Amino acid sequence: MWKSTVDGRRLRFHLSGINNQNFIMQDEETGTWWQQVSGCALHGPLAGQCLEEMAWDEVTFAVFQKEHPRALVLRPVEEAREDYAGADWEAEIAEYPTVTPTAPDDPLQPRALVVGVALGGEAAAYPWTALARRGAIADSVGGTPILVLLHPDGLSLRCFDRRLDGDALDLLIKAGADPPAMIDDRTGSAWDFTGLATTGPLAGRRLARVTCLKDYWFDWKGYNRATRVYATPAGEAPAAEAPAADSPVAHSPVP
Amino acid sequence: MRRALAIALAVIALAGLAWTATPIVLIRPFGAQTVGGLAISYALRARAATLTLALLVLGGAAAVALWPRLATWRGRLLTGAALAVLGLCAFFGRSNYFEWMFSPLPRPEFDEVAAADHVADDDLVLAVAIGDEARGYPVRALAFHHVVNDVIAGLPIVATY
Repeated sequence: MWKSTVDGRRLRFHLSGINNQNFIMQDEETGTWWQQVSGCALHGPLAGQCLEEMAWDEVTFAVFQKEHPRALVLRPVEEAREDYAGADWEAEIAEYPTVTPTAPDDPLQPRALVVGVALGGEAAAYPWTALARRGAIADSVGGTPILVLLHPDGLSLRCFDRRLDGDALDLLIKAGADPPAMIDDRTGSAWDFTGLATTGPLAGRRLARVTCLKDYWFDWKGYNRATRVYATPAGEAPAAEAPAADSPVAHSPVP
Repeated sequence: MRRALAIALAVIALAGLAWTATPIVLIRPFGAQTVGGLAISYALRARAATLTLALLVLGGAAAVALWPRLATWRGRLLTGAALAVLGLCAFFGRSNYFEWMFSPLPRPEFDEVAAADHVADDDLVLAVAIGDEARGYPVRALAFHHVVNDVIAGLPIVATY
């Protein structure tokens, strides 16, 4: 998701090729080729420039609708609707072959899903299976303390900068809370899935978002050569949880 | 003279074919691409419209000069085939054939979120909010269109998948 203005000029993008299973886009105005995953121009008059990244996230329609009741949603093109991806498209794509080389010591399968975060010159990949087990992963990338957060729906993903007034918060998932909530270790305030503190001393404060990308391991690795893969700290419980003060229902791990 | 013209026409047709086919092969889906292969593909594609037209004109001139000298149907057929190849190359050089396979959405249309009954609750959407405006791009549609050019709150953006 990119801002499409470069040097004050709006560019309109088309597709012009494939680079190791990631699209190359071509703009109408200059004919420059852009790599979709990086937003950077590979060849042409604007080569070397990069598009400015937009803040965005990938959430279920239910979450989106609740957070943005007056939003607009892309209307399907009638003639193409039959060709749109089916509900099980993720499983279908997982069967597609990959073309990039795999090292024998590669920690993940090429089509393993990861959440990628690139900040301050560092890149980290969080295996989806680990995230699904834990619900949230706190880490630090390029000096920024971050939180990778999965909604209890098991699909909606969001990443945050955990710092507030310069100090990093530790946030724990509140077991069984509906709507989902987290509690911070410093003040006990409750935080919702948008990163807003809803109750407690920090009510009204908001965590900054960090862009994170749900991607295939081969693709993330291809464009973030030096990426590390997050490993669950040894001996740690699978899901870090705050005590369920007002609910006896345990937070059930997401499939 | 006839022989020289025939060879010239053949060389021109083969040049057009090589110029056109090389990027098709190098940046095909499910192929492994290299940095050099991409650079070659861009160089060929960026000049394809002009070059293939020039080759068509050159080939046409050679064919016109050659035609009265041709005595056999075989010769006329080959000349016609060479011109057809050059015509196709000129057509490919002017087309974004990649978008015959993939269909980006340059002029997207939208529904109010409450009226978007084509999206299920557990369908994923890419969500963007700027000021008071928010957009949702259902992933199942984006996985087909791959590129959507849009303007949100006055800001031009491109949604990609």
